[in-house]
Amino acid sequence: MGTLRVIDGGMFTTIQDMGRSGFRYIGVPNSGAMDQRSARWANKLVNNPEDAPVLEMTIKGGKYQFDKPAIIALTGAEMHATVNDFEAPLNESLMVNSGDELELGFAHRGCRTYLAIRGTLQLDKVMNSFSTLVSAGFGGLEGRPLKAGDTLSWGNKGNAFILKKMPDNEIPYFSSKVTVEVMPGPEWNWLTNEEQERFLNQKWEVSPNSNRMGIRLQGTPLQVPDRQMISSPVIPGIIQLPAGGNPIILMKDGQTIGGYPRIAKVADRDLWRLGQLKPGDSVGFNQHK
Amino acid sequence: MLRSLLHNEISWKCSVLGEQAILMEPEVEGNCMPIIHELAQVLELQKPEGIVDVVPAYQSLAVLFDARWTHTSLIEWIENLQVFAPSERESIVHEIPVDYNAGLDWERVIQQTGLPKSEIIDRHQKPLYTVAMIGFLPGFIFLDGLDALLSTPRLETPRTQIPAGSVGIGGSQTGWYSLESPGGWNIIGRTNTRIFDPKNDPPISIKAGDKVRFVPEKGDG
Repeated sequence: MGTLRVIDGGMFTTIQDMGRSGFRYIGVPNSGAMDQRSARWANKLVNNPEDAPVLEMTIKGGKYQFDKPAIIALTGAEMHATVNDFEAPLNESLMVNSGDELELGFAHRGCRTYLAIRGTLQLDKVMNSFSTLVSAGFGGLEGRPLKAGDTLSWGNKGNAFILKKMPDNEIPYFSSKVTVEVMPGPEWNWLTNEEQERFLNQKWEVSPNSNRMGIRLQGTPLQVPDRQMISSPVIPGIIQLPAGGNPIILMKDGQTIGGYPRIAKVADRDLWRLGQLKPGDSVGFNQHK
Repeated sequence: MLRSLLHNEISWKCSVLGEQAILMEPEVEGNCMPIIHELAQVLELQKPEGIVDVVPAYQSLAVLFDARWTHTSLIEWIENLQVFAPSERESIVHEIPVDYNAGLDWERVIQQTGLPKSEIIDRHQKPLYTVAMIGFLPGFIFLDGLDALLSTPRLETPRTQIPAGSVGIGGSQTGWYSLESPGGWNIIGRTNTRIFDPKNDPPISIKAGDKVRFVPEKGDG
């Protein structure tokens, strides 16, 4: 059994897997990794099941110490990573030794970096998942972000392991200008043709108020339709238009019922790209044909 | 819009909410909550593999599915569902003791409604509420049936933390924060009855369509 000790939990690090489904009927969102593609790759690189729990580190990764040898992998945002002050590569598995310290700095491209450790994290599932839902205080480690002094244990796998690398053509480039596909939402036709065009033609900026619940966009506000909206079901990827006219893209921890018009939905296959957006990045929308 | 389907003699408009989600809206006038709850219950009980979640709201219902289904195949399956006779449907009544002395917004509610505290409590305890939906936040229970005289606008600045079990009024609705959460409703009391425990299966002991009555705490005379 190995132990990871948190020396510095970074800006916001939580344990996530691929989320929990089937509980939206009681207001519990899916949660799970914001960039599922990168989280799955981290697990693949250490031969863990793809949906095994990983550490999701946001903007600044933090510092972690291993008390036993371990095979780990880092994927996602480009954070400067070192093991005992030596450069540590991203997107490939590597071995750390007893006492080694892994440190990750600020993400200079992308937003979230994933750390997978080969083995089985010793944690209990809550509602079928290891994912943390901070707003409700459950899941992951005590329902909260990691902080200095925390320890995580994992059961080792034991068999010999050949280190792997992500093929070059699989390594994503996290641009600060992203375009995603959208389809019309249930209230798309509440917008006039002009407002629909203005939504699709604009480069929206990611606001600092963005987080795992939703990405708040800033730009030239859209005209909000003068119609009463009854609280209705929403899912990750749905784009809401609140009073004020600046859209919000609901993400993994987003609420399950919403009272704003659902003007569009980001294609499921593009959600991972949204998970890597930082405040100041820009998003554009292409209509799904 | 995908198409309409007929269930229990009611026409439902079905549209795409997402690649793996359908939105269903009954085409009826007025209060459609019992209709939504009937379909939600039927779906829950007859749910085949691959239907991931059934999410009722006030006037619509979302059905989330996995790769075993398409929008088309799901709509067809729902249309062929067996309907329950009203007497076959279970309707659970939850009696919830509330300590009204644990309210946080009494001044505001008294001022807004123009009613004394004792009358507000009486009017709040009188109805048999229906659980309209559970959402916005994990475990937030929306109840239908609040006395119109108790209507109080939401707080302008929501609280960042409301104790678990808090019961409140938001606009013309009453509701219950079963977990500690942020919120903007006017809190008039608190119950110690815990209905949400993430470790239980299912995690919550209440569902949309159930009935709730607020009663005095024991020892309140």
